[in-house]
Amino acid sequence: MNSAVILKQVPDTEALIKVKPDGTGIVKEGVKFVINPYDEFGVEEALKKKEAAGSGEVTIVSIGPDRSVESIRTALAMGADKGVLLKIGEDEYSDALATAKALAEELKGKDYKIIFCGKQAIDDDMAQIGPMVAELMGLPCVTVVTKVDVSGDKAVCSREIEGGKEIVEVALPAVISCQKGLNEPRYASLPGIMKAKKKPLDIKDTKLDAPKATIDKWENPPQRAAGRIIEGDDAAAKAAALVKALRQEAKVI
Amino acid sequence: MDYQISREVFFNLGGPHGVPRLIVYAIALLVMAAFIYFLVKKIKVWRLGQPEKRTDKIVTRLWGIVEFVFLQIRILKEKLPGITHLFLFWGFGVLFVGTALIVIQEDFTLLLFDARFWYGAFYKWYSLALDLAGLFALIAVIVFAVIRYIVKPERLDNKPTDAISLILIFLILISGFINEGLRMAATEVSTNPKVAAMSEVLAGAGDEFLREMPELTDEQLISKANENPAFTDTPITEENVYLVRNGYYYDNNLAMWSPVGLTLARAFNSTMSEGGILTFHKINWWIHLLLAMTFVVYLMLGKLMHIITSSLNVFFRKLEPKGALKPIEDMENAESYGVAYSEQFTWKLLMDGDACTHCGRCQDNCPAWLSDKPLSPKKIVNDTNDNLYERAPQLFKKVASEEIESKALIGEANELDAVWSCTTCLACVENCPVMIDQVQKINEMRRYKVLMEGEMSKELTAAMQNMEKNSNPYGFGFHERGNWAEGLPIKTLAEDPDVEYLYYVGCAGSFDDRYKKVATAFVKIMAQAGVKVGMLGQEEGCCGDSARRAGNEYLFATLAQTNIETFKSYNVKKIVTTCPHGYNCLKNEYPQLEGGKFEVYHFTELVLDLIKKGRIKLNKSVDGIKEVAYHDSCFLGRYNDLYNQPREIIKSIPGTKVVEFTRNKSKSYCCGAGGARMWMEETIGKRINHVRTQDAIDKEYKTIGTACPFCLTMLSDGIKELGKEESMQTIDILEMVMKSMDIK
Ligand code: SF4
Ligand code: SF4
Repeated sequence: MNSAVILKQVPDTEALIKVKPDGTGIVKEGVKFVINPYDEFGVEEALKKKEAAGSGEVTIVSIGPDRSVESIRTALAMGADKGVLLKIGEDEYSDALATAKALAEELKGKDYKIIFCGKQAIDDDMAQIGPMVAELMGLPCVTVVTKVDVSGDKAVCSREIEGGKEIVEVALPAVISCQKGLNEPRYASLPGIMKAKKKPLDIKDTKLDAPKATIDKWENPPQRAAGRIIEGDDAAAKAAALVKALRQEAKVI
Repeated sequence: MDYQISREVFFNLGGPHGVPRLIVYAIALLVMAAFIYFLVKKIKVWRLGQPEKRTDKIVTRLWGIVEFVFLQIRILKEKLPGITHLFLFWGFGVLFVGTALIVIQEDFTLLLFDARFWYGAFYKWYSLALDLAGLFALIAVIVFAVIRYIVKPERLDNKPTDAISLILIFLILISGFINEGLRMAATEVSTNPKVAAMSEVLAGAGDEFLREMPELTDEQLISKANENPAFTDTPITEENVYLVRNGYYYDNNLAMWSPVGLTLARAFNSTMSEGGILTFHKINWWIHLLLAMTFVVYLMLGKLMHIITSSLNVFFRKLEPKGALKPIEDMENAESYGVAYSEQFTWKLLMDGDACTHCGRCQDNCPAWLSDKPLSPKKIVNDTNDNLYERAPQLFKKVASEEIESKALIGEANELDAVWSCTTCLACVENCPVMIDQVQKINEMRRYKVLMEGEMSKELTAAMQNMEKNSNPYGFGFHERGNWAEGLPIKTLAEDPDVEYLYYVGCAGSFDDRYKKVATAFVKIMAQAGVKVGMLGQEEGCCGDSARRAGNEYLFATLAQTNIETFKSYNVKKIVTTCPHGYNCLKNEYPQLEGGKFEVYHFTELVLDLIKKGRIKLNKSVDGIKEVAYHDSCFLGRYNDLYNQPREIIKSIPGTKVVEFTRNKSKSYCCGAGGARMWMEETIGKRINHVRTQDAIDKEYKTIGTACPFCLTMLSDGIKELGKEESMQTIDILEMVMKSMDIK
């Protein structure tokens, strides 16, 4: 079973994010980039489906600057067969629609039974790529999926909805966006890492359409004010001071 | 007359020229051939393993044989079994050498140079030595039998070969003594008046006759003797020729040199006739010979094999720092990593299996075993060995490893949980009398699981991913690494590279709230003592100890190489660490990588030195603490022999003394966090840290002193979880030093 995974490289969850002084983006120096965790579920699921079918290829498709190669290689090390990087400049930006168009262009005409992607990227949280790619390719799309069972030309997916589960049957090919809980991404084996260095990785210079939605400005979240330790001679005095502060300064009681 | 202070070889069995001697030689040849056959077979099995160079530093290796085989230094670490073994080893050794000396005289010096040495004063001391050696060995065998079959400690699993070996040795010794007693009964202390009379006659026969006599056949003796005037009255015939030989050695003084033999001889003389004694001697002599020959063949077949294999094992032992795991050679081009089939171990790790004496000392000191985990280092060694022998016949037939039918090495022969239960505390390695390396074996299996299959517990996977992404197992962003030191009197090398020591803080010092206080104490102490140290801040990375001990050699190499590059970029020469894991890793393992040689110190070394030089002044006792139970960190103690430094430091604090755990120093009980166990759940059996905390509770100790972040965490948790927070505490040595120096 051939499938593709749309993968985005994002800053590590623990990375220190600072907005550039001019508000045009974030400072990337010293930031560790990793595979978007939701996309990683997609990679794992694609590999699982391939293993279950006993044949097929998993292709990783990504849009991003040069450094994205590293993340594609990580997916190849996990077991994916080949990668494509639609390469754009480090600070080049377009909107989700332009990005989805470029991806759909790359993905169409290949015989992918399922195109996996994360339910959203953890950096900009747009959650648009999956549905847009599906729409542009004329494919059905199931989002926020926690379980996929493939049988023949159909897949039965569970998706998380408020307070419960929804079971969706979808005709393949389809786009499936992955949610936490779908699987446990594997730890790449060392032979996998070594082999990944030699797997085909196509880097295509890509020009994205001009954005229709643009970002005006980035801002840091407001600084949290420092806490205060209430002083006092004994517990009773401290308690009294605390009540006073809560009533008069914070005005919460 | 000195020639008479000796004895006839093959006495009562045709003498030196009789047929029995030839039969014995024939048997001995067969036995030697069998011995060599079985030895070669073993060697072939070991050679199924992977290559590994163990022939460097020959002198050191040979010296090891003296230390560990002849002097039995390791074995003596445990008193009763140690001394008993020493008795048996030396008892049997002396008997062996004694027998060999006779062979040397009879088949070598006498044959080639017509020279004898086995007579006179030498013979007397020889007799005494062998007599006592036999006695000591006999006592030892009995003590061992009592330990094994009456005391029955858990660590000894009694197999048939143990009983066979003890019984065999026992019978050899007993039949030997009976031989001695019977021979002496017929010669040295014969009650036959004719023998005494013959002895008189011989006294007059002259030196030349006496010198030649032991060599003569019966016919020669008869004709030669009858030429001599001393024999005119009692001519020698075939019937009484035995009297000449017996009379020749008739001498009460000589018998005194064989006290056990003498006692037995007297007993025989008082209960048996001379004819009976001689017949019994003949039968018993053959029994003794056959037993001894069986022993030689059995040397290669059962328990006794360890005499050969453990000596070889000592010779081929690991000479690298004991705390360093072996790297994977040429990781880029290797086809597989770690060990999934027993033949993938190096030949030396395979030989370990045959060298094991089943003494169980490793198991007795293993924190995993003692907390009811499925891991016993003894079992690891022996189950792997059984697995090897199960596979060997097919391997000789060149069947590919994957196709051989046998128990799976990991999962069947060795339980997977056993492989993951190891805290790499090194207690097994340190206490094994024959230098077996259990930890490398376990690590190779972990390497396979992690590097080939990517299979390990979830929590460990998360820790490794954290190390990959942020160079620390805790999962904090790497940019936060230097934050703990804000406002402290220490700069990064980027700010000021001109320092005496680089302080390698490590992950715990950087991220663990409790241990940050210890790192802070260290910085303040150094500042007060006027030692200029710098740090790397966010440029520092995880040392890689946990990654390596968890089997992730690739991650270790990546982390280590990154650190080495950073150290080199600042031209770092001397490094000091507070964490023993970082210390061991940087000191003993980084040198395996290119450019990885630095002078590495642990704070206990540096602080003690500064105390001695008077640069650190310990002024007062700390929080009224009068006694500290010092808990040895495995990575300081067993790994690097830093046992005394931390104790000395504590003792230097006014009014403070060190008290000991029952299990201390090289037998110290791990806190449970080594070997990346820090990052895994502990779900089987008792919790190792509880067991250790309980040790302190049992002794009613109030304060546990540590010098390792993991020990500090584990024992603090232990105290909390066992509900002793009110009455007990943990404290790091550095915190004590800081307070004693009156630094705020
Ligand atoms: S290193 Fe420690 S935990 Fe591991 S097997 Fe040896 S004694 Fe047991
Ligand atoms: S491995 Fe060493 S300590 Fe353990 S049983 Fe064998 S000989 Fe004894």
